[in-house]
Amino acid sequence: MKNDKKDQKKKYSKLSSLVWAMKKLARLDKLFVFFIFATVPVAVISPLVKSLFSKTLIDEIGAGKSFQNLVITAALFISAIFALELLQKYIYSRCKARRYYPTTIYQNEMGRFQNYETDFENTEKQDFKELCGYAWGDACQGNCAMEFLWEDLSNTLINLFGIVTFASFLLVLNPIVFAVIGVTSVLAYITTSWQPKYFEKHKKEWEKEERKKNYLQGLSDDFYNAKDIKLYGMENWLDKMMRDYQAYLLMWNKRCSLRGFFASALAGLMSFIQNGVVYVVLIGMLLEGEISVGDFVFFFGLAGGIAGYLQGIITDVAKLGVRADKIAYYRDLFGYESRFNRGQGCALPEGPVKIELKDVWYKYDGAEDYTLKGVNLTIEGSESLALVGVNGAGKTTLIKLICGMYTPTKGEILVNGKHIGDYNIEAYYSMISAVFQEIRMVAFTMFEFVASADLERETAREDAIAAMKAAGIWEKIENLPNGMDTHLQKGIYDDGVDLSGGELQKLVLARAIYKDGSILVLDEPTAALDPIAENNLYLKYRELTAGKTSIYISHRFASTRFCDRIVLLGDGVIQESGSHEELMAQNGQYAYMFGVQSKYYKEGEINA
Amino acid sequence: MRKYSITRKALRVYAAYNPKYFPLLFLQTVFNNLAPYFNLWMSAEIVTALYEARSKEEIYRLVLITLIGNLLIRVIGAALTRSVSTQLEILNNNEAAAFNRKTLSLDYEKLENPDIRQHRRNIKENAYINYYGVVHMRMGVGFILKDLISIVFALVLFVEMVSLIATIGFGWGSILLLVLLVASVTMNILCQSRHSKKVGEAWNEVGKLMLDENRLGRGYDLNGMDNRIYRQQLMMDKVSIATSKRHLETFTFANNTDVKYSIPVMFFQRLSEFVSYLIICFYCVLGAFPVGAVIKYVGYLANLTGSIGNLFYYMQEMEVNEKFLQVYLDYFDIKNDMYQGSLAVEKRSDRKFDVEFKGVNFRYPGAKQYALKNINLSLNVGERLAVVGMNGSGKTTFIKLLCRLYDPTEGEITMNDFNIRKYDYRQYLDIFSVVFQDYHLLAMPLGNNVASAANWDTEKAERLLEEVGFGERYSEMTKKLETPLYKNFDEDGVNISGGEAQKIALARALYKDAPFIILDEPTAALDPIAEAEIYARFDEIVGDKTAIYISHRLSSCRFCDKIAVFHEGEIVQVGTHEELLQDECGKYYELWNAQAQYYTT
Repeated sequence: MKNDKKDQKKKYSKLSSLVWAMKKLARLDKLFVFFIFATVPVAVISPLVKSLFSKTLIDEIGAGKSFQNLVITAALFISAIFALELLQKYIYSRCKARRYYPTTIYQNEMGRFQNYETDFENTEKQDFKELCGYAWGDACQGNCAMEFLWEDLSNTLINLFGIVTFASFLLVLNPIVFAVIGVTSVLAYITTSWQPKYFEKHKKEWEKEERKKNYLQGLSDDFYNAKDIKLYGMENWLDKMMRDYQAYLLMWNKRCSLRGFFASALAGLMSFIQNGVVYVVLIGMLLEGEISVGDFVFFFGLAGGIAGYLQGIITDVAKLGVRADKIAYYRDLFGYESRFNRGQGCALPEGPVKIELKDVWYKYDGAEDYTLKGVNLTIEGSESLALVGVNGAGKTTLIKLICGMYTPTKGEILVNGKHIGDYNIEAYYSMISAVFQEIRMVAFTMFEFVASADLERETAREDAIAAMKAAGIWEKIENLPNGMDTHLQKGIYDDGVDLSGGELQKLVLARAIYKDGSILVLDEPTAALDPIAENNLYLKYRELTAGKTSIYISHRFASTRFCDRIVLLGDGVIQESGSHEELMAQNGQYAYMFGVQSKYYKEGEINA
Repeated sequence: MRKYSITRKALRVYAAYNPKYFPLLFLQTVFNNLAPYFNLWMSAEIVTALYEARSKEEIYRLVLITLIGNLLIRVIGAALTRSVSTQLEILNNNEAAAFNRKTLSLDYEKLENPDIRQHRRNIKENAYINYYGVVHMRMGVGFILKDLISIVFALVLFVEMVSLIATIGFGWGSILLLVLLVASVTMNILCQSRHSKKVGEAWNEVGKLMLDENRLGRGYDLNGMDNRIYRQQLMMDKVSIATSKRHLETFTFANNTDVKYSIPVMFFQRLSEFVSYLIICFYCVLGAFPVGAVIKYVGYLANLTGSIGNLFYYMQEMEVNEKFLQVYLDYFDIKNDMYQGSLAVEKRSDRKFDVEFKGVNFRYPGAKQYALKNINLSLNVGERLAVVGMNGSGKTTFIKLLCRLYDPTEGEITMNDFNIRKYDYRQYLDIFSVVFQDYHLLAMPLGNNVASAANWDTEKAERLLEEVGFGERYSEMTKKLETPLYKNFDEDGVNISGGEAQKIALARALYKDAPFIILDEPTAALDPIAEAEIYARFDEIVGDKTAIYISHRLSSCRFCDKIAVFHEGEIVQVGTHEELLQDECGKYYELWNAQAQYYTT
């Protein structure tokens, strides 16, 4: 598995990744690409002009030129420097204004791909998750490979261009000087890369601890955890543990920074040698009368500049290599294969929908055992089905398959006689109204949250109100400051409110009712509701499911009483199927479970 | 100087996290700013020596001094940089610990207060805008130190220059030039100050934008399945496009502002440079300074004006930062107002703790309506009390008052005839084991979670996990009690389902072995079999403890001695199941039948 991944990464060469990213960038923002390259000439010419200025002035003073002459020289050079400075300021400001902009777009594209475009199943796979982790880890503002490419590229060009230009002025010098500058620059680069290398090499020894330290340091930020910590008196233990991890990490910080110190000191030594040689050579030439004092100043400045460019270019090339590897993650991510049909699909069925599962097996990514082991099930159009079973029996997996979230590992699912894959998956989703167990508040308004599936509907607002009424949440929402235009979730928008678990459950029910899909799936929709609210849903259930194919999952066996058929899932297969009366008569697992739950509701003594 | 009183106060608090940090930072700043001045000075000397064609020995001596000086500055600077980074980590560590300590010392009531949670979040969020808060202050102090040191070095050179001029004597020309120099430098500084102000304002907008972006990231954490089925992405796209657009506009505005107000700054910068060249050339020609002075006196001037401008900028930023520092300081100043009693809670082996609610009314802080009204109820030792009622009827609030997470607005709660406020708070809290609906497990090893401590009693923990029905899953865990839960602390952690988490939370409550055990919807995520197991073993699990059981599943009432029915904040019925069912108009009858009707026919 590991080797496969390595091979896959090699399928993109570094250069092709850089080109891929540049193309993407150019598509997003051509102006930006123009300005990136516009920085190059100005960045090289400016220091040259400044060096030339000092040289000229010193030479002219030395030559005993008149004050007027000097004034003219200074005026000319300073005007030139001012003009260049303005130009540079402008170009850089354009780059800076636009630099984070592409990242915001990449981030949205990635989020869209991950949360919407790719198969849901992919998002639960380990390798996909790792890929997302890498890509998102890189895609933060301030370090995004796609975004900082411009800086690296223009820096590389500046350095390259700088070396060529400066070197052409220094040709008069002894080639030994070049050799010394070259060698010391490379050595300085090697010494400065010492600490990062040490860091990379030993990273593993503290990565885990760092994660733990961060977890502990942030533990009280989330007041929910803080409450439990207080109730169970865990403060001191957690504090001590955090202190231990902090101390461990500090030890590594010291080790790393010690290397940093030595590297820095050695780099200092390199520049000691480099400058020493340059001084000796230049002073020698000066004493021989080959160059003027102005030349001395000029050449010394250029030599330092070249050394900087040399180190810069080594760093840039290394950086570009790293960026290219990071960009490969994005390419891998966007190239991740989906199995559902996202192109042209067959027409959606009109009227009731029949669902057939034929010998469906399902195994989760990385799991050893199958969760579903050959499920055969036909749900007739307009049939109302109750799905029961113990925790871990595979109920939720089954409905995720039906909802087009997973594809069967073996076997097939037919919807009105056609394979799910024959439909365009987005069109298929449009038939489904589902309430899943996990409910996440999103900072939409109540109306948007309920109506997001179809905001364009002409009667959207009336329908949303009707759905909220049916779900028993309208009374609460009506009384909010902005009614159903109040935002969900505190701390995002000013009018945001948090709903309780029971209220949220009603809200997601309203959403399913609003969507009015021909397949209705409810997974534990009453877990947080009180008996009266629960009963209200039961009483309305027939009305809600009229003309729809529906599946109801619940641990509350009361819910099975108003469904046409009950299917008991156990151990990955359908163990029992039939009406409540039939299954009670069978006296199997269903009858047992029903008995267990109902005994407390029956009159008389309870024998545990 | 009253102006920076908040900064000074915050600096004292912050520096105390590591008293070594700021002195070392000062030293480091001195050394890191020494090199440019040292080099300016030495280059001037070397150029002068060369120009004056002094002896080889003297020239090489100067070169050697330059090289060694640079090496020393570099090495000492690197050593100091290393110390500063270490001390900074220590400072950050201590600050994080102080935050944890503060948050965990808050009254439970404060932890439930959304304003205080927002306050804590604000401190974090402010850091997104230009690191506002203590980090901004720390960096600002660093920058100001740097600029002050630069200014001192530059002034030394300025004084030297003027004194050299003085040896020649001041003519009208020189006075004119000096006046011109001072004027253009002043203009430069004035323009810089205006630039800082305008750019600062523009960056505030950028800060707000980044804050909003961060909030949106938090607010739009979509669920993949909901998104696909309910097409939330379409709304998300709209939000994203609008944000990207705003992003570009805000950054463009900030940078345009920068360019616009930079032009006069650059102009006066170059003008002052020009004037100083004139002075230097003028006096060079007159012979007041050697040629090397061209390098020296022009170099420092650029630094001087830059540093003064920066100083203005950072001083102003410090002022802007004051309101963020206030938020920081305020958090640490949040006072607990719960009365901390001193009466020791007796350690009684018979667990005889009789608790009584006497005419208790309760209103949440800031709320207009009472959450509980006229509660009178006594809890007897070893009793099992079921608390039932509709959502929002006050059941959980009742528990929170009992555990003294809140104090009654009116009335009193007594334990063994003393008001519970009189008992030592920590000790009183310790007589309760509670599993609230919003319980949270830690992403740590199972054993730590069960024991709520660093060490655990393996035999006891395993027995309890078995008792609550976690045994099957437990037997699959190869690392046993060492198995980390979830993945955010340890990536080898295991994910657990809602039902399993509930069982662990139950085991945790039992492990605490307190005289009272309170369970709020402990079986909501369990299947009927698992639930029935808990019910059947409830007596065994609870033992001689006093138990309170809150549930929407009224079947649980059957194994409780007493049922309290809550409705709209009041206890409307108390009695045994049989007694309460007698009253066919009562709330209990209605609740019971809403569920029981499906099981009894």
